[in-house]
Amino acid sequence: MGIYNTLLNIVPIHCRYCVQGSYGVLHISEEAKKWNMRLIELQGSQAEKMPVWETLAQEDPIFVCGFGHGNNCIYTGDTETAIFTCQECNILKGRVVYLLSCLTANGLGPKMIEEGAIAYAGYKVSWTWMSNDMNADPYLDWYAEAFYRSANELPIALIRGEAVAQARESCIAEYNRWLNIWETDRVHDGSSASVIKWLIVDRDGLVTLGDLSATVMYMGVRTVLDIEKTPPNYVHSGEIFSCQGMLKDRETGLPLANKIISLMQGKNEVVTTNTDDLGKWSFQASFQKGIQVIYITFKGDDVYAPIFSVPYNVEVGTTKLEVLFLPPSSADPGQVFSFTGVLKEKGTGKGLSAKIVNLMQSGVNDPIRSVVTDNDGVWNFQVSFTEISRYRLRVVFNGDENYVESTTLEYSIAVGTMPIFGYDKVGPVLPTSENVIIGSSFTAPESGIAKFIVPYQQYWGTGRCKCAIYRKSDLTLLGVTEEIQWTNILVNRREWVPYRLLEPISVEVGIDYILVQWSESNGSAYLDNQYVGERYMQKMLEYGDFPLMFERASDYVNGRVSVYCEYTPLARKLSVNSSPISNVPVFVDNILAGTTPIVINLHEGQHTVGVPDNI
Amino acid sequence: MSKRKLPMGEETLPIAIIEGKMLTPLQLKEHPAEFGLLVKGERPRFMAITDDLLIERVRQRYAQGREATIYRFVADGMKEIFPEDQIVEMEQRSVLGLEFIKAERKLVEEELRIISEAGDV
Repeated sequence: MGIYNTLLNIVPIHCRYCVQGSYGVLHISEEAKKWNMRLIELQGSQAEKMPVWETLAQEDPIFVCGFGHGNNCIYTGDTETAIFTCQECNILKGRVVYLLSCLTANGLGPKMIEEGAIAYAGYKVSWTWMSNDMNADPYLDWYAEAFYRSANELPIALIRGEAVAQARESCIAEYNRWLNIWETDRVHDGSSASVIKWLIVDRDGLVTLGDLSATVMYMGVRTVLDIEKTPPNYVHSGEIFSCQGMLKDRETGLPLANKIISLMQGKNEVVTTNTDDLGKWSFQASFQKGIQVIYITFKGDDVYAPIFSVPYNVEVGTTKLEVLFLPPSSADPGQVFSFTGVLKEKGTGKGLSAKIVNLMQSGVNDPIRSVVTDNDGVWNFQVSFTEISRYRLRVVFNGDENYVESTTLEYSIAVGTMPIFGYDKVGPVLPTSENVIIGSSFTAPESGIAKFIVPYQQYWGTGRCKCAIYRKSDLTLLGVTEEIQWTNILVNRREWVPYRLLEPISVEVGIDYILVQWSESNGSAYLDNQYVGERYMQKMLEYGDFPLMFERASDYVNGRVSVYCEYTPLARKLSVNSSPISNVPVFVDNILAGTTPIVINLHEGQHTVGVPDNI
Repeated sequence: MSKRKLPMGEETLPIAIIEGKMLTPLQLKEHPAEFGLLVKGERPRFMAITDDLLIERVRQRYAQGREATIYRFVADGMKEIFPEDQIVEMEQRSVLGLEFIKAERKLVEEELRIISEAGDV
């Protein structure tokens, strides 16, 4: 059985529906805090199968709340991939599970019970709600409030200490209370009939299974766990640190002597101690490198209820790579530029000397350079590229016995100016690219090698995005770019984003190509809808692998999408002859290219061609 | 506690078929025998609530601008369903449409209970 008084709340936020849902279910977390429950929240990209399963295995909560998209046999997380399915849900053995999701009571709920879950609560219908403002906290939304307060009542009642059967009754009562509000005070609202309809459907769709007498709270006399000296934010690997505090009876304020206090890492005890006559306790502990999440707890006994501290992140030997001199955003071919920074201990800011740091180029597995940090932890790379292209660089410290790895951001450097074809202005309209392949066709002005597709984009949440190039004449897929994972750091940014083609693609002069982008969620393209004579193309398709044929939608309309292709023109031919003698060595950019007579293929740009002074 | 009332505008939508005619609550009042039974919480013998009636109610409510967009946490279906799409699904009797018809039936049952409780429309 999972640990009492412990809640795992799974909170995806990847789509506009989840945004409101996440605000809604965070009220369950608030209630858990009020009741001194130990709360583990997995939000956004953490609301996925791997982190959820790891958390369940390591932290062992008795109560699991999840909201997200679902169907009869699946409950999904932040990327709408399954967290629990009818085939894989045995991790829920010994737990009480509540899912605010659609239809899970028809298959997944019963399967959980079969696999040993104590109890399940969820919906046999598609749980439905209405909303005035999808970006709002539903508790503040005229329509959504009724739906979320009603649904939340079940987990909140469990947190208050009710058994599953009682919690169900509380939940039904809350649905009925809101129905009554909409059938009396709010009856003049134009949408009242719809609200009533869907509240009834949701209420009647609630299902509870398993041991309905189960509870998730151990309800003894409530206690207070004072933390007088908290664990440190940062220590060196193996360094001993201490923390201390006091345990008291919440009602009387009296100290509790001879009670066991534990320093926990997940469900594992790191160290335990007993409170003294004054209720005081203290620990000493040390950890190996990494970010260690720990908490302090009194697990309760026959009289007193358990209590948990907040979780503490203790960073052990963590590092950071600060950049002192950024690489330039553009450089000429052959131009040498600096990429300089310092490797530091994250907690103290002290420079780390004699550590190897590596310069990494996107798309290249091995480091392109390595240097050793100086006495102050400073590293410096002198870099140049001769070939016209776009390069992405970052510096990485791989860590060692005592220190954790770290990396800089990735910086994009345009070396030379790559010619483009496409539309390089920002259109005024923002059609969605979420589960829509969207793009326009353009004619290649010369033959060359396509290397990057660069759409202008806005992203307002997490999600993946990638681009592709199709040949227009037969709509065949020619090449696909790397995939970029948008993070919350990038929310609301708008910019031209270069996507590197995984394999460079040959383009031929006069041929039309379709340049498209496609996002998993939260992405927008930009479109000039005033442009007549070209039509933009879109195809609604759930994000995945690009189709081999681009089947255009029949209702595409005038306009062109802000996207272009960066390419390298085909090599120019340079002939070098000599008279009256032949076999004269020819150097291009100081490198021996061969002897006369010779034809040399050169990429566009400036080159130095020379022969020896004396032969 | 305030007395429950029919939601605004619902008195103008057909709520039952009596003798082959779709009748609104207001029209039902003109059939005292049947209305009296409804107020008592009973059903007139020849009263029917057909799927067509339920679809017609949603159509008319939409025409009055009172049918709402709904949202769902469904994994492999529509997450946002506009009223016009609800009507199309109902007319096609698709899986989704049958679900909407069932939901509308629940609303009719609720409204009949409200009429019974209020003794009026």
